Amino acid sequence: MMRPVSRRRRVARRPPVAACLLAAAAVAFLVLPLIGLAQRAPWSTIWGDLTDSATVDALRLSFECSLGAMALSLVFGVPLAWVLARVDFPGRRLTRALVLVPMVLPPVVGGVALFLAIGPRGLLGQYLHQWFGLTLPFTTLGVIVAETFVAMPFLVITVEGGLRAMDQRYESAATTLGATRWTVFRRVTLPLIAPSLVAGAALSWARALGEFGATITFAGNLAGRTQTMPLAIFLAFENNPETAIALSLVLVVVSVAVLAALRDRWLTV
Amino acid sequence: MTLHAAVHVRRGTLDLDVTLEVGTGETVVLLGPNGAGKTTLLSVLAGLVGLDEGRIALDDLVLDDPQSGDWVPTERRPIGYVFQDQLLFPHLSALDNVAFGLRADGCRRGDARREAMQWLERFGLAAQAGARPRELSGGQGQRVALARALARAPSLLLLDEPLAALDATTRMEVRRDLGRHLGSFNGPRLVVTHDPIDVMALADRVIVLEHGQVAQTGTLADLRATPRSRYVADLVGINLYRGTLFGSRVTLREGGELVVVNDDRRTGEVFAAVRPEAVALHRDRPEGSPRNTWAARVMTIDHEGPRARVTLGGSIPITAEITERAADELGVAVGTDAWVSVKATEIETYAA
Repeated sequence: MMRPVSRRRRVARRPPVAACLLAAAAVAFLVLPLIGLAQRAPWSTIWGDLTDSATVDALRLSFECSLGAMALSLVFGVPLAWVLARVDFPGRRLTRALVLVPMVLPPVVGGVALFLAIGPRGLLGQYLHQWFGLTLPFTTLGVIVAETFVAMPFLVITVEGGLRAMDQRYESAATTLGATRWTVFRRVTLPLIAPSLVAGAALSWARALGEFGATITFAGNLAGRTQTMPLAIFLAFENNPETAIALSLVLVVVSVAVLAALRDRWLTV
Repeated sequence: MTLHAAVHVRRGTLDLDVTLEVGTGETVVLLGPNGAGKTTLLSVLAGLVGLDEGRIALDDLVLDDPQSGDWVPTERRPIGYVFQDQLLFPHLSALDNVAFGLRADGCRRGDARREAMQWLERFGLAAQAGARPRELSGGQGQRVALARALARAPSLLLLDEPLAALDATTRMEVRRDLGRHLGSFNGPRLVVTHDPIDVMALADRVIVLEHGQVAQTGTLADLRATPRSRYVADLVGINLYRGTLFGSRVTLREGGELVVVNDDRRTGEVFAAVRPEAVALHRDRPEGSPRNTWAARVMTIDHEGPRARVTLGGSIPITAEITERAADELGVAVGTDAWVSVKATEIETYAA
């Protein structure tokens, strides 16, 4: 005997009005500044502003340093993510928590901390200076270090997530086919976590590109050496807002382009 | 090439303690309920899990022996392993999946691909060489997985539920192929399954694992003739009881008594097996030659073509197989009462 089917028509439930209004406000709040930026852009002089040698230097430096920070994050962050995901050692949870601190730490504090650790008189810095003659503060390398400090956790957390989510039996399968650990990692693990890897690299790169606080504290604001785009924009905003707007627009375009390029394949946006 | 394995491994609640030998060209099927240790046993043979005690050797090559310290890591063991769910690398084409092992063994890319292509041709998959695993049908994926395992020319072949991931129709078709392809591999073959039809199609010998121990070994006919556990009995569809034989009576562990033939006057712990076809059902209390009669209630009815399998609860739970016609005439329905009769000559008893 079949149960009588309810005859009531299923009506699509209407979303609550309050939530919709608040959501709309949130969207407006997030998008409005970008519109303001575009609206106030000095379109007639923008080309001149952007090809100015100081601007070109800042742009070049920004890309070099952010790509450098991304590279460092990959080189050290991927092994770290692997260890956190795959090696069961005492203190693993504590390690993970410590590694993620820079994500929530105010970047300026990070800059101060970096200075105390690897500055010329710092905990490690004095030896870097003594033994290798290496001084990091107020150098381009210092910018990369500061950016890596704030950017790497993004990569680590994303890649670790990917490693945990992947089916490890694929690695076992590769091992039974004669693959050594390194071959398994290269030919199976890396391709399988490629989406997390790309997403993590993009996130860390974007974070490095926008880095301001740690950079200015640790590496200063020297045109051509440590003055990246965010620093140049901040400086220009006081005396020359038109230039600041033009520079800002460049970063907006770059950021949106990256997001769009990664959207379908790598990020679920 | 013969596999000699004495395996003792403790993992969580599983205490696996198994000794087995598989000869060249022999297919041994490992059968057992979930959690019996079948997959763990394969993992141990493959070196994905190390032995706690025991010894694993292929002829003279010792793969694992904790006592002597011998250990060959998985990637250097001459094994082919076909995993449950196939586990084809999703980012590689069928061809590169098959070539993977050859590449790992140091073969150059071109050579590896050429040889992998020959394997695909042999398995009738030349047209799918460029396809990614997700573009393959279940049966094709299964053949790629087998080709991938065989391409390295292993000495020992391990298959973990090779047909479980397939739907019913494909399974029949692939099972036929699998038997043929296994035949072309000349080494010990070990197949894990819990489908008795796989056993019929593939097995030279069956090892039943339960709770990490060998519960029974033999051919399928052996299992059917003298099942030695409830799991095996259910698998081959036989009613099985355990009890104490004295004179011509078996006092069952779970209550009740069966009258059996005991001409040679054995006594002690026995199994008593009753084929469902030998169980008769009656509407009223039967009077006649059967020595065993008792009242029961119909619990379930399964219709299998012209026959009906009827499970009955009562002082002795039992399954009967009767014709549909008889079931109709008796008016058998779930919840109705019936009388069960079994002739003493139809009950097989053997030492437990």
